[in-house]
Formats: sequence, C-alpha cells, structure tokens
Amino acid sequence: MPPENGKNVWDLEPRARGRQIETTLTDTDYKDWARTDNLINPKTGQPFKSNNFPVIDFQLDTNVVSLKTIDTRGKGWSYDMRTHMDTLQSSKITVDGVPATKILDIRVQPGGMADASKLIEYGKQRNITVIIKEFGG
Amino acid sequence: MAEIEIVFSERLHDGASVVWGRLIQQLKNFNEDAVIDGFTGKKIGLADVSDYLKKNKCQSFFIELANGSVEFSYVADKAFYRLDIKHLANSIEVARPLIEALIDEPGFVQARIYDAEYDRWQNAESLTLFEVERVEHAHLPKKSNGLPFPLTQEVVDISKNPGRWVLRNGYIEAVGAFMWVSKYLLQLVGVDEKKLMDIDCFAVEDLGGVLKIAAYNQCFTAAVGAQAERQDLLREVLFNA
Repeated sequence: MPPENGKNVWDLEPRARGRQIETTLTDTDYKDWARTDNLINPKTGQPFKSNNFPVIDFQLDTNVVSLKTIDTRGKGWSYDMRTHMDTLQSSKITVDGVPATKILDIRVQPGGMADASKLIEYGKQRNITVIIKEFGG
Repeated sequence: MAEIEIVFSERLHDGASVVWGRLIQQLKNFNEDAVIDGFTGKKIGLADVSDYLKKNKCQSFFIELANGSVEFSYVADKAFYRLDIKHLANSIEVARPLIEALIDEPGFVQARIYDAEYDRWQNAESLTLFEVERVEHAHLPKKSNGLPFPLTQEVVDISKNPGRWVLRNGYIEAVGAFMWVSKYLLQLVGVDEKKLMDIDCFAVEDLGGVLKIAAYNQCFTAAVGAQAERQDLLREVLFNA
C-alpha cells in the first residue's frame, strides 16, 4: 500500500519517496503550476521530451521550480544537493525569452529543517532561492 | 574568519583548472595532503586535484580542506564565475595572498575580504535561518519574497543593510574593508576612478588594471556608526547605489 497523506513516506527508498511526494504536491501545492513533463513545444505543437528539463519540475510565469526531497538523517545528501545546485546555477533558463527565477523547493522529514537550512545561503550566493518545508509527520 | 569572494567575467577560459592552478601554491601552506571533492565526497590528494579537474573536465569545483572550502562555480543568470574561499583564512594577512594570486588573471572583476558572521546576518532574509539558530527577528523589517503560492514567505527586508550584497549582471554589488576592483568593473558601473582615489578615508593603490582599496582597518563587523557610514560611502562610490 502506498503511504497516504505523507505518513510513512520517509520510510520509502529515496527515488520512490521523491516520486510519491512530487505526485502529492502536483495535485495540491502545485496544482496551478505547469508540470514541465506536460509542457508543449510551441514550434511543434507536441509535448517536449521530458529530458529537455532535467532539473526543473514546475513552472508558473517566469518562476521555475526544482523540487527535491531530502531525508537529512541519511548520508551523502549534502554532496548530492551541491551537485544539483551546481547544475541548476550553471543552466541558463528562460521563459518566453525572459530569464527565469530559479527556486529550489526542498521537502524534508519532520525535524529535518535545521540540517537543511545551510542550503538557503549556499543557494542565495548562486542566484537560487531555496525554500525548505517539512513534509508529513 | 576572513572569508574571500572573487568574481571573474566570462572572459575566463578553462576557469576551474586555471583558478586552481593559481591557488595551489598558497593552499599548500595549509599543510593538508588530502582534500575532499565536495560534489562527490571522494578523497583526493591535494597534489592530484589539478589532474582530477582536467580529467573530469570540471567546469566548477568544491574542494574541502582544513575544515574550510574552496568553491568555484558559474552563475549563468548573472554571467560571471565566482570563487569563494570559506573558513580557511583566519586573518587578513592569510587571505590577502590568496587574492593577489588571482588579480592579474584575464577576466578578474573584483574581490573582497569580509567577516563571515557579519556578512551572514546582514544578508539573511529567510526566517528559517533565524528560527533554526534561535536568533530574534521580531524587530527586523519584513516584506514578502514576492513568489507565488506555495512559495510565498515573509522574509527580512535587507535592502537598507550596509553589509548587504546583490548579484548583478557581470558583478556583485558588495563592499568589504579590503577590496580589489578591476578597471573593467569601474567602467562597467560608470565609476570615476579619480573620484575614488580622492576620497580621504580610503587608501587606494593603483596596481595597473586593478585598484586595491583599504576602506577600514579591519573587516566590517558593524552595521551602525562609523563602520556603517564607511560601507555606505563605499557602496555609493563604487556602485552608485
């Protein structure tokens, strides 16, 4: 049985956890945003291939969001996040020719806010707005 | 700690390898044989980092050594590279040669030495930072971060803080008691070099393509009084802000 309402979602392995939380947020927090998997290429009238947006999950106006889940009790997440933010900061992303505002939305396990908070300053230096929220619990 | 921030323009080619190569002699002084790749967690010999960067065609790096870090990366939206050396230099005297190893590099834009804690809180906008560190923020001015739901948050308004920094196209609007600014940057922001040289309270030395500025006798650590006035004046002269 899949976890419901975020309960026990943090017991899943990371990839499944990420998918579960993204699906939940697509239907709730991000219901008014475009999911980049569904964007239509105006030149072809067909959906973009999903790998056109490897680091972006949602878009609204000139705001683009990369959604990540982190269990700060695990190992290696600092390295993974630095790598991800490096990719994000070095990518030129525009919406209708306008440079996008890059936002990294991080969902952490209950109690994980303090450990992840150092990413806020790291992101700001790299022109990435980092928002951290606890999920579930 | 005396933190270091250096900005390079897009004219810098093979930036990661070149910058590391320029720093290596100075970094040897920290007597660390091994370092950590901060992107992967992999341990590398200090002497092997250059080859590692070349072999992996790294455009950026995050090297952890001696409880600090050397971070080089490209900020695409602002069209510059930034180098940050954090928690390594414990004095101005240690920080200065690290910067001076790089100022004649083509593409050098600006550098500054700053106090880590002062800079951190002058630029802290997210209330999360205050709350996790249990730092009082009730008295600070607030504003919306301007983002749509679900990202809307109230943040601290730092727009009047003397120690604030702002990422601009091609440079960082930031001040430090010890700064190096290229004449390229002065041209970019439309600063009259002579006006800067004539300000009595700044010691300005012309190094050729770069001006070295000593605006105070120690890193700025206060946002009030004489230090605030000095920071505001420096910002006004350098960035017309």
